[in-house]
Parts: sequence; C-alpha cells; structure tokens
Amino acid sequence: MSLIAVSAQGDTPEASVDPRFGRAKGFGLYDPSAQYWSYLSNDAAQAQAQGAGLAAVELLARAKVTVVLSGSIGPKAAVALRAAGIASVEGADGQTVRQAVAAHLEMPQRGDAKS
Amino acid sequence: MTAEITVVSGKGGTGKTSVTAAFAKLAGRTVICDLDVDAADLHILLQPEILETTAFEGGKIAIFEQNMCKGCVLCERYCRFGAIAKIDGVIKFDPLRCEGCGVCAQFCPFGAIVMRPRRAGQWFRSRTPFGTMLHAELYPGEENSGLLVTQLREEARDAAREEGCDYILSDGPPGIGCPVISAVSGTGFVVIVTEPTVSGVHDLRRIADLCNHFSRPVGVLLNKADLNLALADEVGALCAERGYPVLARIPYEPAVVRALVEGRTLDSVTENGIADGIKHAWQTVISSLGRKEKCQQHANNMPTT
Amino acid sequence: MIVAIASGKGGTGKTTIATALARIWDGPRVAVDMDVEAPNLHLFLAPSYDGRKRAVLDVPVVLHPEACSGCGACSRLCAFKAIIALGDYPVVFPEMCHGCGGCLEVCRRGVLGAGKRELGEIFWGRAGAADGASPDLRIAGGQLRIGEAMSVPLIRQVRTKANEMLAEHPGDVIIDAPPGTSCPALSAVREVDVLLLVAEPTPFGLHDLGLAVRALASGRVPTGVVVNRAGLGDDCIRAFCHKHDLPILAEIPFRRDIAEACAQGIPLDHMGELRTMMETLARSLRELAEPRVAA
Repeated sequence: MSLIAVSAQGDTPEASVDPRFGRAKGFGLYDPSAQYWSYLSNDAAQAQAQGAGLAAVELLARAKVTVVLSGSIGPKAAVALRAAGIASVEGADGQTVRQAVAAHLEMPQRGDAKS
Repeated sequence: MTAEITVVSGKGGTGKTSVTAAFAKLAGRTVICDLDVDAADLHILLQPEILETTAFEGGKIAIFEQNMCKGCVLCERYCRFGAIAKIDGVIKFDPLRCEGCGVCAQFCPFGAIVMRPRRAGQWFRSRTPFGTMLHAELYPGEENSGLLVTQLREEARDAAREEGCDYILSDGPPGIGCPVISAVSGTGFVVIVTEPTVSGVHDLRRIADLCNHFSRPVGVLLNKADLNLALADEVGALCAERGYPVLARIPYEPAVVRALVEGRTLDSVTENGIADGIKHAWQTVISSLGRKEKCQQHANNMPTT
Repeated sequence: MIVAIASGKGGTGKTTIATALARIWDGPRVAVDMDVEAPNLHLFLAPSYDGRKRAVLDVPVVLHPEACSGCGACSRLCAFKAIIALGDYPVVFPEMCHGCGGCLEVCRRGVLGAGKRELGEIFWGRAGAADGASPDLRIAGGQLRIGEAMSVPLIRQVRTKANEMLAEHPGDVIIDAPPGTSCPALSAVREVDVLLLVAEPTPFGLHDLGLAVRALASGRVPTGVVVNRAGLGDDCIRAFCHKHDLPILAEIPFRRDIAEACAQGIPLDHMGELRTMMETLARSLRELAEPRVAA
C-alpha cells in the first residue's frame, strides 16, 4: 500500500507544488492503487509557532502516507519522516502536484511532462 | 537555487553589520535579511523603506483568571521556571520567566489559567536600493529570537523566489546560541567576521566549531587586522588548519568609523585599501559558491548611489 | 552590592570594563561571567579553578515505546514540538525541549523517563592577587556547549553557583552580561543594585544603547553609562544620556594604544590614567547603588 503526499499551494492536483514542507498550505494525496486524489489541509502545522515541519510529519503519519514530495524539507522534519518510515523526495517544486506525482511514478502524462 | 550567505561573529562588535551592508551593495540584486533581531542595526546603514509590517507571535504566555483561582498552588509546583510563586498568600506570576510551556494551564483544576499568544515583536518587509530587505524588532526582554530568525529566513526565501534573486544576504546575531543556530543552519556560506584580540580569537573558535557542528562552509574576514600581529597570525593559522579562506584583512582605520557616522558603507572607504579588501572578500565568497560569472554580470549592473 | 555591566551592542567593551572593575574593586567580590555564549572574563582574570561542573537540563527519553497507546497527549501538551506522536510511538527531539516536564506528567503509561541534555559547563575559582589586582577576587562563569541553543537555563545555573559562593563567603558581585536586549541579557541583569551600560559613540552604538535603556534599565535600578572609544564618532551618546538623565560615569578615549593593549589582554588598570578613571568609576557605582543597598 502506498500513499503519495505532495506539498501543495492549493487543494487540486493542478495546484503548484509548495516549495516549503512544514509551512506548505496543504498536501495533495494520491493513492496509486485506487488512482484516487484527495487533499489534506496543513493549517494546523502552518499556525504552529515552531516545529511546523514536525507537526506536518505527525499529520502525514496519521494519514498513513508512505512517500512525500516537496521542495525542501528541514533537517528535523527529515529525521521525523525517517522515524515515521515515510520516504521523502526534495526538489519537486516548479511544477503542479499532478506533474510531481507523475514524475515520481515515471508515468506518462498529458501536457508538458517535466523532462 | 538561491544561495544564502550569513555574516556572523562569535564576539559582538567586530564589524558584521558594516560588512553585510557593503556586501549588499556589491551583490547588486539580492534579498537582505537582518537576523540580529535582538539589536538590529543594518537598517541604519541601508535606510529601508518599510512596505509591510507583521506582528510576531513568539510562543505563548500564561494568563491568570484571578477570580477563578482557588490558591491550590498546583501551578507553582508544576512550573519549572520559577514564574509562579505564592507570596503572602497571593499567587504572583512573573511573565519574564514564563516559557509558555502551558503545563500550569494543563494541570490547573479550576481552569484559572489560559495560554494566549505572546506578541513578542514585529517584522518588516522593506525596500532598499539593493533589494528587498527583511528585518525585525523583538520587544525588549522577549525570547524566541530563534523563532523570529527562522521566520525571517522563510520570508526571505519566499521573496528571493518571487523576485528571482540569486542571493540572500543575512546579518547574523552575535554569540553561538539559539538565534545564531537558527541563522546558520542550512545556510549556503558563513562569513565569520573576527578581530585579532584575545576575546576575538577565543570566540572565533567557538563560532567556527558551531559552523562545523552544522557542516557549513566558512570564510573568515579579519577586521582591525593590524591591531595585534601575533593574534592575527593565530587567526591565519586557525583558518589554514581548518581550510577556511581568509576573505580579507581589513586594517584598523578611523576612516571606517567616519564612514559609518556618515552612513556610508565600507566599499566607499578608499583609505588603507579597505574598499578593495571588501570587494575582494565578496568575490571570494561568490567564487566559493561557484558563481563567479553571475557576480561579474551583477557588478556591471550595480546601482550607483 | 551587585553591579551588572551590559550593553545592547556587542563588542563595546563590557568585559574589558568588568575585568578592570573586578581587579580594582575593594573587598571580597565575585566576578560573574554570564555571557555564556562567548565567555571571555576568564581570559583576562586568569583564575585558578576550584571546580567545574557539567550543567544539564532535564528532558524526556522514550523508555518503553511498547507501552505507548498513541494517545498523543504528550505531543499536544508540548508547546515546543520537542515530542511528537507518530501513530503508536513518540519521537523526542531533545534539543528543542525547554525542560518543562509536562510530557512526563501527562503520560499515564510510563512510556517516558527523565533524561538529561548537556547545556554546557559552569566553573568557579579565584583570581588571586596576581600582577597588581587587589586580593579576594573570586570568579564564576559558564560556557555554553557548541550546538546548544538555550543559554538562559545555563545563566540561571551560573547565578545559583555565584549565590552559593556568596553564602559561603559574602561579598559584592560584578556581572559581565551578554549583549543584546532579549532573554539572556535580561536574565543576567535581574535583581541587581546598579546597572552600568557600555556604549560607543557611533550610530550603531547610539541605537543599541537606546534599546538597552528601554529593555534593561527599568527605572527602578540606578543606571550609569561608560562611553568607550570616546571621540571615535560623534557626540550622540552624550546628547542621549543628557536627554534621558543618565550619568556618564567614565569616558575611555579612542586611542590606538588603548585598542592595542586591550587586544593583547592588558587590563585597563595597568594603563596610568585609566586606572584612576576605573577607581573613580568604582566609587561612582557604589554611590549610585547606595540608596538601594542601604534599603
């Protein structure tokens, strides 16, 4: 069972990838086996005075996410992700959530696939 | 990718801010950040025009509802920071000692304590001739300066992304504690400004150890370099041993202070080769980051003031 | 009496002045270095140490992860995100912990136990009467561990140590405070009888003196100013002090020979007229503090 989370600036798969992890607006979730998209708001972590990255990890762990794609992930959040058994990929910004997932799955996609 | 350059010094008063201001001018288009939120001075030299002011909430603080308090002093027992004490039968709360942990509120059986956000300062997004500047004012005696530093850096990264800037140039705080750790962790290059004094050398070792602890690349700028040649040699040896480039040796020169009083940056101080020294230092920082060409390009487009 | 030497801006000469005052001060006294991030006082007072001690903060450790029910109470309580709940076990980030102890109190299943994080060390000793310093000078100080973020708990432990030394053998206290205006500086100048602010006459120096006066000089504590590197910039500090009714207790001139001597670590009281100036400064501080000390 895999579940992919992508830090996102909006609640659709066409939203841009949020380059920030902890303070991302939310996470686009994609379940490859069910081919199902959903969205997880990160408001609670964003509002954290500190440790936003860690709060985001808690959120993803509760949602049983297995892989997270983002722009850059802070060192503490990276440690927490490892502890939670969630794989992480950085440098996924500069594209839409759908494109990021597609690139990750190396799946052919419509439109301008990232070369 | 934007490169973050952070100017620090273990010991205060070695000339960080003057160096940062000169670098800001030499960098051309950059995002400038004053991370010395405790005693921010960079605005004095760069005269930013404030575009946006945002409140900074640094954690929480306990608020007592005196009429609900039954005087059980459970809170006093739980508070490990000595912020709560029963004196002459009255609960006294010392806000300066409150860390905002919320343990008192959690365990108060009468709900007499609530945790409220603590307004600890404000930060500004401003415009300078050299680029967007992010700076802040921490209210006196407030803590969480590290958190404010982290927020400023996040804002700076957003600004650099929006504006397509190659560099974020930050004036860091003195010391090696919380705000310094927040300022240097994950930064692309650390410039340590030091001086050949007994304290300067001692504190250089500590800040260098800190940079090492966080695996940050370092360059050293020796200010007042001719004040004590033996100690200047000691700084040189330390740099050689650790593989730090010595970015410049700036002599002890009263003209530097005159420039400061007149609001001019170091790159305009032609006495004693100071302007050339600081330009050389900036070039070395840039080439350490592997961006020599871009710098040339920027140098040609430098705003003239 | 307790005198604290502070400044908004770093590098104004706090330690230089604290050193000189400590050396010439009459009677038993303890010089306390509270600038634990960049402690320098011991470099100039060259003490022989009577002791050193590791300073620690109580933080949680995960003792029995198997007992965790995943209730998340610890994570919800922690205001610093130093402990997070990942499904069915907690993860502790000890370096973010402030040591409030709340997680240990809320966990009902004994998952967490008490651990320690090293803050640094505290040290104490005596400076003796070497090269002309007046006798009966003791020193206490602390040194923050590299990588440790929190200096305030260490500053508190230095203060506790100094209080123990005073309980053993009473005397005056000369505090070398950390620079700035936030919590470390404030915790160093708490409960003092007189505050001495060191400033330099530059635009930065003036700005930071303003901050220090706002943050540290509460109005209740008598406060004086030393202008260091006088003549270096302009007259701004004098004008400021006049306006805020702050006495200027000494002005150390801006001279290359003084800068060179200080760089080398030669104390001010070794330099002819500066010794007299420091003696006058010490007397002025006693006079300023007198109403408070007597009360």
